Amino acid sequence: MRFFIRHIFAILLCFGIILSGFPVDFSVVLSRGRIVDRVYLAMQNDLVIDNFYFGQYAEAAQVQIEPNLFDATDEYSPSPNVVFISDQVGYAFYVDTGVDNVSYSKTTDGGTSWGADVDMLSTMGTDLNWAAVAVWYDQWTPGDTSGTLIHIAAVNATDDDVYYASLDTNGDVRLNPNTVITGTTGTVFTPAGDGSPFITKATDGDLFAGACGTFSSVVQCVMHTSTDVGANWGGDIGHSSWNDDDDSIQFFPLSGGDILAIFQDDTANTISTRVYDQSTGWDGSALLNRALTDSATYDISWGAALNKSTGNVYLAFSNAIALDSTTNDIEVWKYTESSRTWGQKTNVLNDTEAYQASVSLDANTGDIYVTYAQGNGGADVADDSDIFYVKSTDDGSNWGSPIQLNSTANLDLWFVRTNMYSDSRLYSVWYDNTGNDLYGETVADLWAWEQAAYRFFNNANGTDVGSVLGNQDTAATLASTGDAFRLRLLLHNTGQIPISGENLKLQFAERSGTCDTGFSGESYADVTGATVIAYNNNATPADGDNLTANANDPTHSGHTIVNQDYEEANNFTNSVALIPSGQDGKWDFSLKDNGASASTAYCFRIVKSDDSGLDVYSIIPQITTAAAAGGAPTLSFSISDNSIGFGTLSSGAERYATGDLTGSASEVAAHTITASTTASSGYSILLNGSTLIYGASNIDAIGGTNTTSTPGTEQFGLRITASGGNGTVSVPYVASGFAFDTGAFPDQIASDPDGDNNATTYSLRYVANISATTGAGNYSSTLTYIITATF
Amino acid sequence: MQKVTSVLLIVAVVVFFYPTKTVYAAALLNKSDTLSSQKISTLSNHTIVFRTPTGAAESGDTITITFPAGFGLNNIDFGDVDLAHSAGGQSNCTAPTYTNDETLAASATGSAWGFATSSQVMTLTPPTDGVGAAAIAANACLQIQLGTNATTGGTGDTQITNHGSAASYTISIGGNFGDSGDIVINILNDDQVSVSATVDETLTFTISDNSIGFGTLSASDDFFATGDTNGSATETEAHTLVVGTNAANGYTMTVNGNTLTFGGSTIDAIGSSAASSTPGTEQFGLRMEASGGVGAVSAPYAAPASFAFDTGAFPDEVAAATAPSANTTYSVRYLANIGSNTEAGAYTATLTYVAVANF
Repeated sequence: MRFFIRHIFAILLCFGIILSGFPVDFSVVLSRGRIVDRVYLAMQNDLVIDNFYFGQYAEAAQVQIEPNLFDATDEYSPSPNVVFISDQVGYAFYVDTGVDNVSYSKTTDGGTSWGADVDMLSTMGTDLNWAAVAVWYDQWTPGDTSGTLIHIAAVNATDDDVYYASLDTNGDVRLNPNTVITGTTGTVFTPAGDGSPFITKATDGDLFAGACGTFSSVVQCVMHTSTDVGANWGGDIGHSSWNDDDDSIQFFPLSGGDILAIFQDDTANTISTRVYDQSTGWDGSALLNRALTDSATYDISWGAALNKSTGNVYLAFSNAIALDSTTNDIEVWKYTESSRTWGQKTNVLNDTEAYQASVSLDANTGDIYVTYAQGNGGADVADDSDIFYVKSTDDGSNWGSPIQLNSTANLDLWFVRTNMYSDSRLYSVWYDNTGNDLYGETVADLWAWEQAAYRFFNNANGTDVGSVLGNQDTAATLASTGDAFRLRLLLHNTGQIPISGENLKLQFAERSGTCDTGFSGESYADVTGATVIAYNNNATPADGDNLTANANDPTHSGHTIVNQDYEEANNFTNSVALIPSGQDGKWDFSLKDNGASASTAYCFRIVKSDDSGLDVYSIIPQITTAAAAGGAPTLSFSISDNSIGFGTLSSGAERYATGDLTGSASEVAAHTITASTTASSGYSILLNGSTLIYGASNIDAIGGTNTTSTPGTEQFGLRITASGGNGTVSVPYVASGFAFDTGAFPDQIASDPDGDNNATTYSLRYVANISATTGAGNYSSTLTYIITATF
Repeated sequence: MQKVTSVLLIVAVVVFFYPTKTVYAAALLNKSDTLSSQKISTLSNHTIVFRTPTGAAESGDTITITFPAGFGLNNIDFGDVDLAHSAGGQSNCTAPTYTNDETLAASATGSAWGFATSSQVMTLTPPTDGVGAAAIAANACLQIQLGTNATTGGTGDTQITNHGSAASYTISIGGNFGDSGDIVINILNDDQVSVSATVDETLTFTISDNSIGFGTLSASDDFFATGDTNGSATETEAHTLVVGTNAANGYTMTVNGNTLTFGGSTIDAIGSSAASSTPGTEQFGLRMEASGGVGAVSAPYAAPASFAFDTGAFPDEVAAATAPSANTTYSVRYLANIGSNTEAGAYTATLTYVAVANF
């Protein structure tokens, strides 16, 4: 028995040491940046002579979410009406025309397109003359990281009730149908004259919702609460001062189950806030108490957002809503949860025609985005307004330049709202009152993907890989033609990416120059099962299987790696697990040489499924196919003519060398050089020698600067053109002039980046010019051409 | 029996864990050989570069370079060889810094690499300490220079003779260090292009006006010839001569002829000493000014505001260049004065200018 124990111990010891001796990979910390091309647009403000607003257009054009709103003018609430549960999946709520139902549209591509309206008939009743709608997403409430419900509050004018329903985004199941929050005999709700609904979920899970209007024959704003996820609602516990039917309210959850209510008094023209404690009721006095200037057209001019991480609330509003004037400011205020006090931040705009505002927050950085509507200085703001956003990265102390969201001019745009708080995408929607349309556009795509690290492996018939083909982040070469191989790639991200958060795909390109992060010279295409670098179908694992980690897998700056899956086809996503902010997802691509040229280098990159690029490319994987069959590397080099001449030179005219030694008055190729190789890194051709010499006299070489022919001035130079293959002429011999850089001799005149073995023919043209004093004689030069291949 | 088995097991485990070098045979990367000449049967230097995934850090890690039969190694020795290498961890050998230049000797010493040839094989043997200037680390780039391009410790004096037949040839690199690889080079019948050009001898010589005149002379005033033959009371250019050449020694221009003559009467030539104009006294002379090129007016015709006409030296040099010269333009001014007793008549002179290039 002891004998076997020793054996087992020895074997375990061996394995332990072997495992501990596995090499450790190191990686380099790479900075990341976000590159977004924007088009700058200057828009003149006609009302302020010589004062120009410089705006920028956002990254994509606006999207029409819904063309048939019930009545845009009645649909507003400062509460959000759009939710994004991930970078790609979002819901926008509105009241559709026709049967006038509360409906939603859904996007699964980050707001690039939206599906048809899905009405809420089964939950909210039929043809009830719905007015405004407000929503709250579970995970906007501090402490909730897994809730999937979107809570909906809406009012209708037919039965004068305030309704609740919810949409479970896990399967898009509509819950709690036709739940009445409040509605009694004597209630009269007029969409055009009454206020809007509001709803939130407190930190203890209770729901709070209400609306402003006439309830039980009393003009007031009501607040009701549900402790059972909306199944039942208690009585009105709204504040006694809420006594106007056209007021607007937005709720936010505070710590301890408290509720922050931001209240716009339409009669007093003020905006103020109160805190509701579920044990002790409303606080003693209102805070903020900012005076507003009213408008008969645009009552509601504000919106606020909760930072779920800090509990702080940011409020933005236009302090004057006067139309067609330039007196409005957009103020921003911050509610600090720890002290429960308000403090004013820097105004976004001063003395403008801005008339509405909304706030959204980047959950990753806390950056603040204020979206607003602004007139363009025309005769009537209702005929010509635009939607902009500005961003602050320092908690509202400073604001960036305005960026325009809408891309249709001369519309009456109202009621900007956003999805308030997200770690993946901030999205704004607004109403076009001209056509009763709902538009939207991404304010900020908060997921920043970085192609961060890679390593090539030999193939294996499984979800694990074979032996390494090279070091991490190092180009590799296949051993044989047609080899299958594996690419394990890390994508680093900022922003938490939920499971299946974004569809991505793998692309490849034949290398041009280098596999550079700017993709200079390469033409990338999707990898398919039929491309020359193709996905490889292994017998055992299936596309999408979870990958098996390998000790030699790439790493990235010590980040936590979230293993994803094994891929045999595009597209792919993080279908295994979410990727928390600051971590890396790892994918395993099964690939093969599918008839690619021998000794040819290919580059790889990941792009989004809509072909847009990732935010940062820090590395570009490169694989080189094996040398041509037979394994013997080749190098071919020939010079067509070893003796050329200019004939007799003249100071009055340029002269070009020819193969028959007599020269030509016009530019002509004197001879050619042809080269090809299977060497993986291609070849370079060098030139050595001297300029034309006769005894002690010489004709001046042009030098290292490409120069045009100038008769009457001594010149001896060369220019080269290339045809066939992918060899290229080197500077300074490639331009239309001539050069002869003896100072750099042996000087590179041409090169080929890879070993595709396709021959390139170089045509060499020589020019000679002399001056009137160039000494007579028989000049000559001997030029040596050397080719070096790098295998 | 159990004891024997246990002992064997222990021995096996000890052997298993005994510190030995694990040789990872790998393919050399970034291999190249740059020749100074690819022409058949021609002496050539070689610069061989490659990257070793394994490295060479032990005294037994020899590196061999095998040339195909037909290449002449010409008894190349360590003085004709340089071995340099970079730090490890290179990803390519495009532009490495060869931080370590190794000392070579005929045989390896404690700090020098040995170099020897046998038949077509060159062998580099690491120092006996295995390190030398520095150990060759994994993924270091090596540069081996063979021929007169080897300069460490003195310039090499022996090159390798290229194969006598034009073709592709494979140079193999191997040795005990474990890595190996081939490099293909091309040998051509001729890797050179001869370029020829001819520059002919040239001489440019032109006279702008072949007929000039003073008009009517006066004893009370000086007269200068003009192209319209009317003459001028103030000094002026009568015509120009243009001369240029690419002759190595330039050119010489002379004047020949006679002074102004009418029948048996003449107006006195000024002679070889440049003299200023003296109205009332017979004088016939010329002076020149030069511009462009490197030609210059010769004495006595170069003096400012003075004239000469040295018939005694005719054909007399009036201008010259001692080197190739672009065109020089000579502005020629002629002076004539008469005395009160100078005979009346229509005086003429015929002057001949000759330019001779000095190749």
